[in-house]
Amino acid sequence: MIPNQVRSAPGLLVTKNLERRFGESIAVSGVSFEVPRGQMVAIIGRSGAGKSTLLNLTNRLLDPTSGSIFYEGLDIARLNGDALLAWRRNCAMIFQRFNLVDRLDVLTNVLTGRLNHPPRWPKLFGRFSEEDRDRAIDALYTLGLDDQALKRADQLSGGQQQRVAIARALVQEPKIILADEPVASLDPINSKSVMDALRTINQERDITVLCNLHSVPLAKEYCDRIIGLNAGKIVFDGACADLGEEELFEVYGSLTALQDAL
Amino acid sequence: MVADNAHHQDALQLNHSLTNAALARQRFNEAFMHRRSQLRRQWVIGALLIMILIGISSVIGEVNLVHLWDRLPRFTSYFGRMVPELSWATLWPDLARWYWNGWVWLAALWQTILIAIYATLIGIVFGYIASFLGARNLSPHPSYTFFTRRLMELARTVPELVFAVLFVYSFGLGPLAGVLAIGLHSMGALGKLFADVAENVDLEQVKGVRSTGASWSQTMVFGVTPQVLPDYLSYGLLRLEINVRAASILGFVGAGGIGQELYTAVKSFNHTDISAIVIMLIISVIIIDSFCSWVRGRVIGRDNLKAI
Repeated sequence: MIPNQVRSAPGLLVTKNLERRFGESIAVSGVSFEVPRGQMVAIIGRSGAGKSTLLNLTNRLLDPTSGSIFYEGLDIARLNGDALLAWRRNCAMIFQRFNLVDRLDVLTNVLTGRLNHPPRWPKLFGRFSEEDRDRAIDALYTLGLDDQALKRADQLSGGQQQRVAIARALVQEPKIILADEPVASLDPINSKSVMDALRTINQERDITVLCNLHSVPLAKEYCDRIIGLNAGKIVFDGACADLGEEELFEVYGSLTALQDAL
Repeated sequence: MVADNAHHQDALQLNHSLTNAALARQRFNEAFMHRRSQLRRQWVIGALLIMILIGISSVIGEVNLVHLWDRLPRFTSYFGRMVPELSWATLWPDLARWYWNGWVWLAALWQTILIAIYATLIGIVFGYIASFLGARNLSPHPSYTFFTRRLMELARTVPELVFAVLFVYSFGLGPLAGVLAIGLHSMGALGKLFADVAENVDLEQVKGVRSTGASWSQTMVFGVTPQVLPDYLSYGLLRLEINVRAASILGFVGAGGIGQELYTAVKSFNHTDISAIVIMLIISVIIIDSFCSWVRGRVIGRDNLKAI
């Protein structure tokens, strides 16, 4: 791969003809887009449209079948070993089901976000530095959870758990945050606090956010730009204002699915 | 869209109509009867097969019930000889005579328990590491799983006594050979059990840790270990109980502990010594068993109660 083929700018994320198959079925196909640093992008589409696959490919929890992902001109799809782990650190993930380790306390869950920061070996035996701990507490304080630090993660409510997950993402000091349906398991009030937190982080720290959303109003309210996926392909990519009824119908394919998202 | 919906509703109505429901029930009944007769036939064939196998194995294994009945008195008279002479009037002197070598036996028993503890620790440490390599859902590569699982099988199919003989031969007489023999066997048994536990972890939690850029070993420690710890501990304690019993006979091949004393007693026809040692063994095993199940109950009980 010749990196010069791709436009390289600080913080620029580019995908080119990204494709991922699971056996016979194609989850993501011919996906190409560019996201400049600091943008907050919503990815919308029906369940099974390939939204989660796209984020998992970007973090490289999944490997693409073909195509490339470039970050600042570096081909992410071909990383392996320590370089791949370092990329995952730079590209934090937030999940629909929070994906905290239930039996660990909140603080340790946040500290797992520091596992890729050197020195890595002492952490294998649970020895985190004073600095790591301070960062974790700071992140928890930012999200209003510093008083919960020593509770077990599974004792917290869903909204609190998702904010712990955001704290874990923050201490990774990421360049990009990938949020996979971050509010789909939450009630409206908690949804708002989680989306507010993501938007604040995006604006104050200049971190790019890619956010899968099931709800079009949330996407329009919080994001700069919307990408619509249907059956693994991009069918809309533009500003929120440009997403009209016709475009929505193309993303969701049927009235019932559309009504569900509105 | 509209036409599509109408068609869909038609299908729903048809499915709910009486004739179709009756038809469906009839079809199910036929399938059910067929399945039941099939099961019955399988059951009869299975039972016959097992009876034939029992017959064959009793012939090959020279299991002879008449012989067993004839020789039963010998067995009981052996027990009779093991009973010491005790009387109320001279109870303490009698007991002292019975346990004439008590302090030596107690020291040997203590050594047996230490062998069991060290061996269990070896088994837990290596079984812990092996379990992540042997778990199909966690292993870095399928070949690791294959080789780890085969190695664990080898380590636990070879009986401890065989390992003990080998280690006595190479490391000399004494408890070290016993620790290594039982440790190796424990690693095989625990590695397999641990790996099976690890295959049931919640992968979403593991994914959460992996997504941060954690290395494979870090992911095992932070994403998997918290989930499996109670089960590992429980199996480890169970293994400790088993190992105390295993360690008690290792002395027969010179690998240290109370078994050595028991072997001497059997060989020199000191029948009351045998009963004295066996009683000490039974008591210590009971104590350790109840201690382990108490700890286990506390560890698991606390967590499971919360889940409900």
